[in-house]
Amino acid sequence: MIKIVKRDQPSKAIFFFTPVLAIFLTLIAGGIIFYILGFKPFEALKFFFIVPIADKYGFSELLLKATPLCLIAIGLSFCFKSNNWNIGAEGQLTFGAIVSGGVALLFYDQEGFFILPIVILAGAIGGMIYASIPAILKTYFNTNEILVSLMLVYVSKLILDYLVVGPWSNPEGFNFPETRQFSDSARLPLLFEGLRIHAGIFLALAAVVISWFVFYKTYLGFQMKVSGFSLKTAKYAGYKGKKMIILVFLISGACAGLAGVGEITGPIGQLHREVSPDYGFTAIIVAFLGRLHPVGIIFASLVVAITYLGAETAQIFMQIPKYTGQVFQGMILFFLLASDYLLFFKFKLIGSKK
Amino acid sequence: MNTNLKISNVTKIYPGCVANDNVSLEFNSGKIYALLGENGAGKSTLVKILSGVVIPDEGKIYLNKNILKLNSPSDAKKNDIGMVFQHFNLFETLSVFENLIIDSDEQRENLKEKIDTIMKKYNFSVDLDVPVLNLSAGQKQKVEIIRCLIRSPKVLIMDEPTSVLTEQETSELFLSLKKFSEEGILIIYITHKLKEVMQLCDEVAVMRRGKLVSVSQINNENIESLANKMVGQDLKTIKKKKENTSSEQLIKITNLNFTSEDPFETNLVDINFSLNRGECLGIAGISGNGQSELFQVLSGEIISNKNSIEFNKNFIGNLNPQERREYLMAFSPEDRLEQAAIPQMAIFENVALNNFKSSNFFNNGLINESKIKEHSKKIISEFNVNTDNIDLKSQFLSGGNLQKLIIGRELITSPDLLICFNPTWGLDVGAINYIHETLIKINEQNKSIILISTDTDELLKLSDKISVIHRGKLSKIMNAEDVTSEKLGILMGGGN
Amino acid sequence: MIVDVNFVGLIIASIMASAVPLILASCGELITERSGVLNLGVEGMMIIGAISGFALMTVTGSLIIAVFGAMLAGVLISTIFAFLTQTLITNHVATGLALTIFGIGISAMIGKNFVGIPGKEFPVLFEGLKDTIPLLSPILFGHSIVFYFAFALPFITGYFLKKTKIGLIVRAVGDSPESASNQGINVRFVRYACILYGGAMCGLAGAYLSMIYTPQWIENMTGGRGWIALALVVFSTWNPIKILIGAMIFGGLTIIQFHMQAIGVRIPVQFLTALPYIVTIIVLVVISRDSRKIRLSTPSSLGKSFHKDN
Repeated sequence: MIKIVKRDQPSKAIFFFTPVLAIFLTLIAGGIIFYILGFKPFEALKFFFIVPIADKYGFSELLLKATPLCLIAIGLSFCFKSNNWNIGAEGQLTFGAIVSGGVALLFYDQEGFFILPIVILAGAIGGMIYASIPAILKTYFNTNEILVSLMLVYVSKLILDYLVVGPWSNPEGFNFPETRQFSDSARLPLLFEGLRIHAGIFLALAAVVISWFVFYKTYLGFQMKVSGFSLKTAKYAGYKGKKMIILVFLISGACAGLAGVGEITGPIGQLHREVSPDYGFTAIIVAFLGRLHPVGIIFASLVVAITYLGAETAQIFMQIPKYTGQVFQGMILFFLLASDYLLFFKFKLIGSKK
Repeated sequence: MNTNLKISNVTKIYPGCVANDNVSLEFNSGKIYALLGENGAGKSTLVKILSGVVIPDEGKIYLNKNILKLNSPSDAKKNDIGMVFQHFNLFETLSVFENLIIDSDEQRENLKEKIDTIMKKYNFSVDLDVPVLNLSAGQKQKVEIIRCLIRSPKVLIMDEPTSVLTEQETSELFLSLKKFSEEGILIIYITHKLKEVMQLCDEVAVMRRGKLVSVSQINNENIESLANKMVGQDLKTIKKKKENTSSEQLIKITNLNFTSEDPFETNLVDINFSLNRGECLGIAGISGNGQSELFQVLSGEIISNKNSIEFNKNFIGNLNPQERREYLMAFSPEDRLEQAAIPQMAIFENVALNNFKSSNFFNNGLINESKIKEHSKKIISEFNVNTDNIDLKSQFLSGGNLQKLIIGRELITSPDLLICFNPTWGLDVGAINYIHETLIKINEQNKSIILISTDTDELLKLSDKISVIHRGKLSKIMNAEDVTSEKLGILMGGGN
Repeated sequence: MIVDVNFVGLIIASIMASAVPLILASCGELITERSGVLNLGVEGMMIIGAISGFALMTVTGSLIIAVFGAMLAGVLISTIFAFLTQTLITNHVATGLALTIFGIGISAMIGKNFVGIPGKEFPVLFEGLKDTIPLLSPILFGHSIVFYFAFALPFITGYFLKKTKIGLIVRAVGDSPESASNQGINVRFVRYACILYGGAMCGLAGAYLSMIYTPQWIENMTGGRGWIALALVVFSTWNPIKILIGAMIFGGLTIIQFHMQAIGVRIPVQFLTALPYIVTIIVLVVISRDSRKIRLSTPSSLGKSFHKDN
C-alpha cells in the first residue's frame, strides 16, 4: 500500500527539481493534446520546442522574447517575495511604453546621445507611476491590489489605443494605428547585423544581478523575506510595512516599464496598438517557474519564451493554432503548483500488514 | 443505564514524537474522571482520538463492550460522545442558533424548544440570535455544552475547559458538570490544574510524555502527590526574593486609548500605569480581553499618541518597535511560531529580527552575516539553547528552546524593560522554570518587566505589582502581596 | 423633449441584458468564496463556457445540449482548480491565474474553427406580451430563459445561504474550516462542491455571451467581465442581493457607451470603454475604506488553504 506522509521539512532538492518535473509533465500533456487535435505528437513537439531555436536567427528570437519576460519576472519577484500580488505588470509595461514612446516622439526629428537614456528613464518612470496606483490604494485605502492592478491593464491598453489612433498617430501614416518612427537616437541598438536581438538584454541581465544582490545581501532583501513569511513578524520587528509595499511595487513597475521600452525602441521603433503579446501575464508564470530566484528566472524565461516561438512556428508549419502557447503556459503553472505537493509530502510504501 | 468506555492499547505516533504510547483506560458513568498531565503529555491527542478527530495508529475503543470505529467526528457524535474543545469549535460570524442547528438533524421549532428546555434546566442564558463573536468566552463555552447536550450524550469530554473562564464561571461549570454526572453522563475532564482535579473529580489518570503513569481514586491523592506524578520529579519551587525595588520611574503610560478597526479585536480604554526600575508588573486577565492589543501598543506594533508613553523621560508613543528598541525596550510576543520567530528561517536569521543600531547586523543596508552569526552563538551559549548549529531552521527547535532563543535575543542587549506575553505558554516544566529564573534574574539586575499572562500562578510567582485587564480596561494596580488568586478571579470576571 | 417610455424601457432592458453574465458569474463565485475559496479563474471559466456553448450549438444544433454542455465545461475546468487547491493544497491566487491563462488559450484553440460562423437564434419567452404595458413590457417580456434565471439567482442564492442547512454549512466552512472539520463536516467535499458550482455558473455566463448576448464566437470575448465579476463580489460584501445592484451599474456603464456615441457626445470611445474598469477601481476603493465592514463580511478563511492532518 502507498501512503502519503508529510515530510519533516520541505525538501531542498525537490524545490529545484519540481520546475523540471513540471516542464516534463507539460510536454507529455502537450503531446496528448496534440494527439487529440489530430497531430503527430512528437512531430508537433519538435516544431514547437526544437525547430524554432535550431538556427542563430531562432536563438536571437528566443533571447528577444526572453528579455522582457525575464525583466518583468525579476520585478514581480520583488512583489511576490513580500506577499504583494501585483498581477498588472502588463499594464505597467504598456504605460511605461506610452511614456517612453511619448518622450521618444518629442525627439522624433532629432539625433543625440542624450535621447536614449531619457527615453529609457521615462519608461521606467511610467511603469513606476502606474504601479504606484495599486500600491497606494492598497496601503492607504486597504484596496485589493489584485483587482486594481488588473483593471489598470485594460485601462492602459485603452489609453494606448486612444493615443495611437488619435493625437499621436502618424500624420503621414494613412490613418494606421501607429505613431511616427522614433529617431535612431531613441532606439536600443541591435547587437548583431541581421538579427533582432537588441541591447535591452543588458537591462534584463543587470536586473538579474541587482535583484540577486538585493535579495540575498541587503537589509531590504531580508525584510522582504521576513514579510513574505509573516507580516505579523515584520510588524513586530518594526519594518515599515507601507513603505516596503510601495517600494516593491515601484521596483516591479520600473522593470515592467523597461520591458515596455525594449518592446518599442527595439526592432519596432514606434508605438502601435499591441506593444506586448501579454508578456506581463506570462511573466507571472516565469517568476513562479524560476522559484522567485534570479538565476531560476533566467532559465524559466528561456523555457517560457520557447512557447511563444513554438506557437508561431507550429502555426506556420503545421497549422496548429498559436494559442497553444498560452495553453502550454497555463499547463506549466498548473504542473508546477501541483508538483509542489512533493515539497511537503512524500509517498511511502508501507507493508499491508500494519 | 450504565455507560462503560474502554480505551485499549491506543498508540499514536507523530513525526518525532510519540503522542500516545500504548494507553489503556476504563471509565464508568456516574463518576467524573480527570485526565491530568502537563502540556504535551498526550492527553489532548487521546481525547481527540475519542472524538474522532484523530485516528490512532493502533489500539481499540469500546463503548459498552462494543468496539467503536471512530473515523470522523460524526462517528463520535453518532455514538453519543460529546466533546467541548479547548479552542472552541464555533463559527464566529454565524448566530448562536445557526451554530446549534448546523450540527443537529432536528427541525427549527423542535430544536428551539429543546434548547429552551436545556437552558432552563441548567440555568443557562445565551441570546440565540446574536453572532457568536459577540459572546464572552464563558457564554461560548455554554453554547458548546448546549450543542453536546442537544444530542443527549452518554459521554461528555471537556478539554481544559477553565482556561478561559473566570473563577465564578468555573464554579458554575463545576455545578453543571456534577449535575450531568448525577444524570448518568460519563464525564472525562482534561486539565493540568491540580486544584480542579481535587475539587471536581472522583478518579484521576495521570499522563506523562505520552504514557499513562497512574490511575487512582482521588481520596488517595493530594496536590503534592499528583504534582509529582505529573512532572515525574520533585518540583523545584522558585521564589522571588522580595527586595526593595528602586523608586526611579522607568515607564509611564498616560491615557492610552486604542480603537480597533477590526471587529474581532478589543478596544483599549484609558490605560494608565507606571512602573519603576527593577519591578515586575503582572497583567492578568482571561484571554481575549485586550492583552494582545495592549502588547502591540506597548511594543509599538500599534502606534499611539506620542505623549501617551513616557519611557526613561522620553515620549515614545509614536515610535515603531525598532525605534523603541533603541531606547532599550525589548519584546517577547505570545505567538512564537507566527510572530516572534519564523520557523522556516535559520536560527541566526531569526536573531537578526531584533535589529538594534549598535548590533551592526546591517551596515549601510547590507547584511553583515558574520556579525549576526557571532551574536547568535553568544545567545545560544548564554541562554542554554540546546543546539550548536545556528544554520538550523528554527522549526527544529523544541518550544522551550525556541522560547529561550527568543528571550535570549531580546535580553542580550540588556534592555531596561522587557515586555512579554504568555512567555511560558505550552512549555514543559523544565523550560518554564528556566524562563522564570531568567525573568527573576533580570529583575534583580534592576531591569523591569511587564508580564502579560493568562496564567495566574505565574503572575503571582513573578510579579511585584499586579493589575487585571478586562474588556480593554486595566484595574488599579495592586501590590502582589495583597493579591490572592480568588481576588484576581473576581477582577478577571469584571467584578470589583 | 419628449421621451418615448418604451425607448426608456428598451434601454433598461438592454442594461439588464448586459448585466446577466456578471450576475451569473458573481453569484457563482460568491458561493465559492463563501466556502473560503478564492478562485481568480472566473475569466478563464467564462471563456471556456463561451466557446463550449457556441461550439456545441454549432455541432449538435441543440441549444439545450449547448447550454448544459457549457455549464459542464465550466465544471470540468474548475475541477482542475479544485483538485489543485483542495487536494494538492496549492496557492489559490496562483492557481486561479493559471486557470485564466489556460482557459483563454484553450478556448482560442478550440474556437479557431468557429470564428465567423453565425450564431443561432435563442428562443425568448413571453414574446406575445411585448406590447402590452408601456415601459414595463420591454423590461419584463421577450427575454431568454437564462435572463430570467439570472435575475432570480441572487434571491435564490440569498435564500440558500440564509435559510437552508446546506447554505449554513457552506458559510460555516468559510468561517472556520477547522471547527467545521472537527464537527464532522467534510470540508474538502464542501469546497469541491462550491468550486464546481462556481464553475457551472461561470460556464453559463460564458454561454450567455456567445449564444444569446452576441451570438457568435470572438476570441477573448469575455473582455475582462470575469474580473469585474470578481470585483462585484467584493463590492457586494458577499451579499447576493447587492450583486444585482452592482451588475446593473456595470451593465449601465457598458450600455451608456453606445447611446453616448449615438447621440454624438464627443468623448473618445476608448474612454467610455475604460469607464467600467475605472469605476470598478473607484468602487473598490470606496467599499474597502470601511475595513471594519469588510472584515466582518469577508469569509474568515477566504483564500487560505486547509489541510487536515490525521
